[in-house]
Amino acid sequence: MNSSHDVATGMKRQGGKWTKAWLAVILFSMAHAMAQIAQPMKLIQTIELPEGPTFPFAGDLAVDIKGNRLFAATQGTKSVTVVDLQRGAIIHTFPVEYAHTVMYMGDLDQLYVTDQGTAEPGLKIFDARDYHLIKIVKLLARADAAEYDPQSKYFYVDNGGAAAKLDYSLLTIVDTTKSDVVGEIKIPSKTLEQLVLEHSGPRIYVNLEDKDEVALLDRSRRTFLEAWPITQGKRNTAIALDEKHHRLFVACRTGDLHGDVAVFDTQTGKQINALPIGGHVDDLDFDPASGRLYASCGSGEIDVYQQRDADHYNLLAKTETGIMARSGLLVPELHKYFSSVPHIGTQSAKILVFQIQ
Amino acid sequence: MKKTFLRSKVMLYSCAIALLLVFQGRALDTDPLTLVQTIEMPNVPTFPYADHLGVDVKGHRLFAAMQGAKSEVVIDINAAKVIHNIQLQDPHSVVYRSDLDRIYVTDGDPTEPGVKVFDGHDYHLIKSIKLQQRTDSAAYDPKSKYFYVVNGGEAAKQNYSLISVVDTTSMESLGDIKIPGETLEQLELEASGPRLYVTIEEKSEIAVVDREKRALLETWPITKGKVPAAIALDEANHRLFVGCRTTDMHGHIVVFDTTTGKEIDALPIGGHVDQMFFDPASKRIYASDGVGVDVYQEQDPDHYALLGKADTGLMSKTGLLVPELHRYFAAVPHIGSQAAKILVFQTQ
Repeated sequence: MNSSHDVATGMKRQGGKWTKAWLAVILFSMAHAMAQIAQPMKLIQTIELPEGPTFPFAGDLAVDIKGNRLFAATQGTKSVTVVDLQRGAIIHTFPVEYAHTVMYMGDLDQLYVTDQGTAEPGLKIFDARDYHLIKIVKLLARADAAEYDPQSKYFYVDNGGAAAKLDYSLLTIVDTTKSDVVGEIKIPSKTLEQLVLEHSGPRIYVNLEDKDEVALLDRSRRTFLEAWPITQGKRNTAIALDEKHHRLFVACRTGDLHGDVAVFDTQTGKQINALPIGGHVDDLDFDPASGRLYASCGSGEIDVYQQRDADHYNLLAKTETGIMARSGLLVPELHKYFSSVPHIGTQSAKILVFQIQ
Repeated sequence: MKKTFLRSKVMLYSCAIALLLVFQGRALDTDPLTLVQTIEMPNVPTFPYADHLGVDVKGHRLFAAMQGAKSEVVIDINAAKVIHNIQLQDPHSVVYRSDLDRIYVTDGDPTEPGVKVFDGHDYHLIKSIKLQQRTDSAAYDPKSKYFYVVNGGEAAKQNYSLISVVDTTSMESLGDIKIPGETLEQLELEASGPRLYVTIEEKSEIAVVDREKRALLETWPITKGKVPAAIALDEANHRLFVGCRTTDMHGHIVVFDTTTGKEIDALPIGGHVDQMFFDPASKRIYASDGVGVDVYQEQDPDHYALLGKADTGLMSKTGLLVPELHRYFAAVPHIGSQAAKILVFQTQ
């Protein structure tokens, strides 16, 4: 009796061990699978750019989805580089002294490039078929960030301020159909940074870096409405909008190695949250489909936040890039994120291509 | 029963709080670097680099190669301000001789590369000692008072580089040691013997040189890291520490046994290391790695533990450990919204 009882208990114990082992295996597999799912970005390609002198910045990126082309403002080589995305090869470079924003106009097959160079500053319009310069739209000094409104086909571009020895800046409106200036909005700031357009209404939000404020503009009336102070965060540069939930995301370079994304309620103009990110942020993208926010930071990381609801955000991951790789571009149609890495010392200039999950 | 349960719960919480306080206290005690001061350098334009630092301990002056401003910036450490700018095209390394009150700066100026000697009193140029293109890193031997200076290589269109021996007393170049490498980085001198170690960046090798015979002895391959850029030495324990920029964001301190020339460990650091120090008194290694200073404790010659990492700034890859002052100075370049500065850390 005793022995059979012992055997039965032993079996039971052994069975318990097996159950535990299986449970451990299942839990490990689940954790592994979750880690795989939770990783929001995966490096799938590295496109090396032509060798040039060391330069701490790389400018903006743009994509021609139909033509499989990527355009990169490669400031170190004083050029714009054109990459064939299918082959991962450079197909053309053309000179631009100090290119900042690059935007591809698909309907016109043209490239709009803001140039802060001293020789011919302003907005340069290139034919994207043979890359010849079509026109230079003269602007004040420091033509920098810009945004495009696909409804009106107007291009809004920052210029002026301290670099033009003025205590105000301009948001100049260029009609892309006529390739000409049709107006401007005067803004009380010495340093404008990035802007974002509301699609369901006439609002423009633009960063006033020198004041730690966000300006609210009415683009149909071409007027400055008001400015909202940033209460947590400093030196706001990048910006993104979640129109559905009335949330504005303002990325700040608060410290040299640490920054914040200030979350605003666009209905009240009040900051409701601050999400920690890396330093030297220069691009911020919000993807409404996934509710994810991508902050490209020059400290060498892309910080990805998941929006749980309008007031709650979780950091999903920090994806490594390179030092001063602060320009990034989310292209949801391609399920890709492109990051531009400048040549600094032993770090070569390159484009990192990530698959977004 | 209830009372006992309550008492044990109180005991448990008290123990937890006590443990927390102990750990917190220990964490504070072991923080190896504490930022005590920031010295701003307002007139340095944007440039991705700031190079090496030198010190005049008695005169409480710090010399900083701020390449963005094309100047060797002189800072009064006590007043925490810039007191002078010595104009130089491309300053890299610096050493100060207190007995002569002279400042020796390596200058990569393509039109006149070499060592520039300045008067430490009024900062006038005393002499320019001409060397080859890419005059860069250097190490000073306080016994012979010779300054060993890296130059030549790829920039001089040669497949070899030179370590020039500059006598800081006579201000003459006494000769060169030829090294088979196109890009030499930092060098380190043995104090108890004639050895000199220099990193050959493009080959991921260490060259071992006899500086008395002015001859290359051998080269050691580095396999546990890539792109060696910084170097430090623990002579007592025969350990050489080689700072590598293995990838863009990650590097290693590769530990060599100098008696065998073999690697024994690789310690992870950030990606842009350019300067390292070993402090024999505390047995700590300091590595300025492009975003911070990594501090490792040598527990014994074969075991190392990361004590902490102090944040600095982007491309802050150079620093200076001054044990006499219990200070570590980190040079931060001006890049965009990041202002050029010197961060002053207290070493613990």
